[in-house]
Formats: sequence, structure tokens, C-alpha cells
Amino acid sequence: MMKSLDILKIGAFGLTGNKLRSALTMLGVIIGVAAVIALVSIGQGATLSVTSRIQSMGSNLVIVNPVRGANLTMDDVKELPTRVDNIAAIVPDMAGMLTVKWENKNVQTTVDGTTEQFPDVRDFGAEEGRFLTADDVSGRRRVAVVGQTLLDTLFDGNPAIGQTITINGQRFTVIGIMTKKGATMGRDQDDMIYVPITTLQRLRGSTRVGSLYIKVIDGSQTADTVAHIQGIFDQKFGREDSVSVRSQDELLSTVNQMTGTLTAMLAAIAGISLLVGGIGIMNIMLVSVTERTREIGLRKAVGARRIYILGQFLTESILMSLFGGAIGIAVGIMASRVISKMAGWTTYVSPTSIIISFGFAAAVGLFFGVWPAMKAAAMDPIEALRRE
Amino acid sequence: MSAMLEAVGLAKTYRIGRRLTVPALRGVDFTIPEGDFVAIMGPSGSGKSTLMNIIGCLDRPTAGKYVLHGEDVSRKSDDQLASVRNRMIGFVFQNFNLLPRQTALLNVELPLIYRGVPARERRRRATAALDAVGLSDRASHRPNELSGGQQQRVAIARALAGTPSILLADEPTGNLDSRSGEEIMALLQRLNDDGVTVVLVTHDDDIASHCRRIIRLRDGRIVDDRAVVDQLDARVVLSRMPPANGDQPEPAASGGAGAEGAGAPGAGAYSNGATHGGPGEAGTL
Ligand SMILES: Nc1ncnc2c1ncn2[C@@H]1O[C@H](COP(=O)(O)OP(=O)(O)O)[C@@H](O)[C@H]1O
Ligand SMILES: [Mg+2]
Repeated sequence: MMKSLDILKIGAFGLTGNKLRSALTMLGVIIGVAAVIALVSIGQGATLSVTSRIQSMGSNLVIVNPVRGANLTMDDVKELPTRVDNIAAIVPDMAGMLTVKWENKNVQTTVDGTTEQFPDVRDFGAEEGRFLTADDVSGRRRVAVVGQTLLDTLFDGNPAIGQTITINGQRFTVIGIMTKKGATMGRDQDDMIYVPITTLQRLRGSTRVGSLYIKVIDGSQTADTVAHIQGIFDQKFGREDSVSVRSQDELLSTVNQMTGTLTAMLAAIAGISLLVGGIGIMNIMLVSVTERTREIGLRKAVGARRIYILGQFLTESILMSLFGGAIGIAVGIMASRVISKMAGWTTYVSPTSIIISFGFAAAVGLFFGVWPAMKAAAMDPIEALRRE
Repeated sequence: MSAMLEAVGLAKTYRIGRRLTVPALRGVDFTIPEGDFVAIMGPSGSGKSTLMNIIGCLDRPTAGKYVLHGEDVSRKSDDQLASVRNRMIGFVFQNFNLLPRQTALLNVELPLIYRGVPARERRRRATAALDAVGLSDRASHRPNELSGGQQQRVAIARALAGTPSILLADEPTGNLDSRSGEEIMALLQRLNDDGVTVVLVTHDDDIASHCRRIIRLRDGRIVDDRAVVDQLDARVVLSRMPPANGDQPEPAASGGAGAEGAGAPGAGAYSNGATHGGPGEAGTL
């Protein structure tokens, strides 16, 4: 209707009356919305990177981790497939930060002891040269497959295969280079050296392995397999929950739950600042209504119904929150990028978070604008006109 | 002439708190025919403002009946009264009450906005109304760029723009110097000649004697209601005054300009049941 359009115009014009004040009021909403967008993007970025990290471990995985003194050994690695049907491949994992030396260069890197089955389980392997073989493992050979980051950090771009490196004082021959994997969650997956676990155990004087990565044959049977493996270890160690056996899906859902909670907490904190912005709107609108009592009286005298006055002031508060919301989204996206750059975190601004925070901002404008607008609409024109 | 406005036993009692009541009007009867020009006078506290508020449909009587243009408006809701005000009443206030950030033209358009008149038609009528008060050349000026007299004329244009049944003015000359006040009275007289019904409140006997009739109130009752014998003609008074100084433009000039501009619609805009008159009349102010 054309009258509503005029009311909207009157409301919009009202905002231009005290531009600085309108801008400062909007700033409250801008900060609130930007905070929601930026903080939620951190939470969602964390979810995303943890998820991709877990997915990058391979597919159809079951991971066994020892709990309090339950030591896993190579015997478990050999025995488990004979007792559980659904196992396609199994590798132990024993990683540690060690000093690696080539010629006169030293670097600290993660050295991972594993077996020839690693590529089957983790879905990636050597790109050049070869990966570890069963003979390397059984023969405790001092061979190493290096991640691509080390080509730069250790070898300075020189051909790596065939070179001799020193790990904790022991000499290893480089036999292969891994496929590039990239970084997830700020951790470089290519800053790794893979050696036979047997060799690494001897180097460290230990028979333990850290954890087991198992690839199942039939993904639909994973739950049964998990229960079976749990039973075997609980029996072996003589207590319940001696090890933690988690399927990748379970891990994903646990992690998603955690990051979801994180996101919700961040959103709540940011939401509070948006509420404060809303209170700012209410505050200014109350002041504005009081200041403009005479104007309201005049409008009513010349025939403005309650609803028109209500509409006029609601328009003001909603426009402030909508503009603030729109600017806040832009600022939030920028902030999220800056955070990602500066802190090196993955951030992700989802369309949902934009829509929700914009909607929330609009709702805040409406909610906190209603009371001042109703105050204006309910004014007695006689009283209002008398006011100086 | 038919009754434009009829009050029967009109009473208003204010309540202060739960116990205290203040009778502001104690049974007032009168009829104002179409085309009348009435001054309401009386000492402070006699109920003039209370009566004006009821006549202006800003308030309801606590007893009695008030009929405006054949419509009983004494028991209407706030929103209904707003609509009655919008259609039938034009207000002129002592302190002008213009919106300071809006141009004269937009100020005049205000009642039409709330009536839902389309923008183009609004502009046409507002321009005509400004023309009728001799301010067509000030349409794009803001109130602070206008003299007090000009501001009051914009306010009168605003009151006229909606072609009301009745023009109500509460001390319209109270904030003006005598010459500007006289010019306002000349304008009101001319509008009245064109058929507009005018009711004003004043303390000033001189102002009152420009009207056709004076109603005197005391303690909420009408104590006197009679026709003015020697009605003053503002044009004559103005001609005897020393010439205007400085920023007060001779209204005749702008009125003349208006005659050439949106002249004809101007007449239609403000005169209802007009006996005669056109924009040229403005020039004779
Ligand atoms: N809103 C109100 N509440 C209580 N008493 C009022 C109110 N308005 C006016 N009165 C009282 O009513 C009487 C008439 O007032 P008013 O109509 O303003 O007189 P006038 O305009 O002639 O000075 C006065 O006694 C005044 O105190
Ligand atoms: Mg009074």
C-alpha cells in the first residue's frame, strides 16, 4: 500500500536527523553481527578441518588406542587379523619428534614407525621410489620414506632418493618420497618420515607400538568389528575398556559434537554482544521518542493513527539493525579472513551463519524497537503538543 | 447556513488521581454554522484549551454530545478520532509546530500523507495551499529559513491542504509581532471570506475583534456569546501600519506570483463551499 511506503520513508528520513547517533547505534549491531560471523566461522572452520583431518586418515578405519598401561605390541598387529574376519589391513603407528640430519643439516620432524601395509590402510603411499616392504620390516632395515616437506627443509631441493640420513645418530637410506598430502588443522602432513616400526623400536629400545590403524573390509559391519576387537583386548588385559576402539564415524561424530559445542558457545558469546547492540537501539529509540514528543503530537494531531507512528519508529530501529547487520556481515567475513591469516586457523563462513545472524539482527531491531515505538504510538497528542 | 459544529451540554471533568476531580467544562451549548469566524476568549483556566481540544477531536467530552459536520464524534476511539481530525480539522498552533528538517512543501503535505493521497496529488495540493497563503516561492525552504509570520502561514497552508471543515487556531498570533499577527489575521479573514470556518482562541481583544463572533468562557461555562459589532478588517489595519522592514516580504508580491503559477487549483484546495475568491485574492492581503 502506498501509505506504508510513505511511513517507511518517514522512518528512513528520521534516521538522517542525527547521523552520528544513528551510526554509533548501528555500530553496536555491526560489532555484534561481525562477532557472530567471525566467531562462528572459527568454530565451523575447526569442525571442517578436524573432519577433513579424520577423513584424510583413510576410509573405513578403526583406530585402537591403548588406555593406561595397556601396551600394544607387534604381536597384536600380527594376531588380530587371524581372530577378526573383517580386517583388510592393519598397521601400527608409533610417532615421535626426532632430530634428522643430512650432511650438515639438522631438522626436527615426526618419524613414524609403520609397516608395508600403511598405504593400504591410509590410502596414500610413495610417489617416487618405493614404500616400505615386508622384508624391510622383518629385516629391521634402516630405510626411510620421506614426506615432501623434507625435500625443502632437509635436502634443499637435492635429489633425496639414495641419500643417507641420520635419525638419532643412526644412518638410514632414503628409498622413497611420499605423495603430497597438504596441511590439515595447521599441521603439515608432509613433514613426516616413515621407517619400519621394527627398526624404530630397536632405535628407541622399546617393544611397544602406539596405536593400531585397521582398515575393515565391510564398512557396514564396522560396529560389530569394533565390539569384537574391544572384547579381544579386554580379555587379554583382564579389564573393561583396556583400549579405546573407535571407528572413524564415531570419531567424526564425537569430534563434531565437540566442535559443535565450541561453535555454539562462540555463537552465544557473540550473540550477547548482538543483544547489547539491541539494547543500544532501544536506548537511542527511547531518547529519540522523548526528544521528538512534539513531532509525534503534531503527527497525531494532523491525523496519524497509532499504527503509523508505530510503523515510523519501528522502521527506524529495524533499518538500523538491518543496515548494521549487512555491514556487520561484511566486517565479520573480513575479520574471519584476517583471523585465518594471522592465527593460521581454518575459518569458514557458512551461508547459514550469514542468514541466521542477519535474521537475528533484524529480530533484535524489531524486538528492541517495539517498546519505544509503542511508547510513541500511545502518546496523548494533547500532552505531546504541550511539551516544550 | 447549516451547522458545522454543534455542542450540546458539553462537559469535561479531569480526574487527578483517584479522588480529585477538576471540572474544566460544565455544560456548554453552542452551534457554529458553516463559514463562521469565532473567537473563544476567557481568563486563564476558564476551559478554552479544553474546549478547543474537544472541538479539534483531540479529546472526548465526559458528558454531552459533540456533532461535527453531522457526525457524532463524542464517543469515537482514538484511531477514529485521528481519522476525523485528518479529514475535517486543520490545526494552527501558537508555536507553529512545523517539522524543522522538512521543507515548507513537505510540511504542508503531512496531513495528506496520513490520508493516503498519492505523492503527485499531494504535491499538487500542497503547492496550491502554499500558493493560497502567498508562499509559493518558499516551498523548498526549511522553517529556520522563514520568518515567524511565514512559518505560521506555512502552518496555515498545512491546515488547509486537507480541505478541512474547520480551521482551529490556538493563539495563532501569540508568538508574532503585531504586523505579522495582523497579516495572519488578514489571511484568516480572507480564508473565511472564501467559506472556511475558523475558530480561534485569543487573549487579545484586538485579535478577537477581527472575528465575526466572540464566545466568552468563565469557569467552564459560556458567559457571553455575541456577534462582533465593528469587525476589524485586517487589510485596513495593515494599510495604516508602517511598512514592513527587511525580511518580511510584502505578501501581495508572492500572492501575485501565485496567481500566475498554480492559481486555479489553489482555490479548490482551501475553500470548501467557497462563495468566491481565487488566488488573486492573496495579492490583496
Ligand atoms: N490534563 C489536565 N488534567 C487535569 N486538569 C486539567 C488538565 N487540563 C486542564 N485542566 C484544568 O482544567 C481547567 C481548564 O483548563 P484549560 O482548558 O487549560 O483552560 P484555559 O485554556 O482557558 O487556560 C483548569 O482548571 C486546568 O487546571
Ligand atoms: Mg489554555
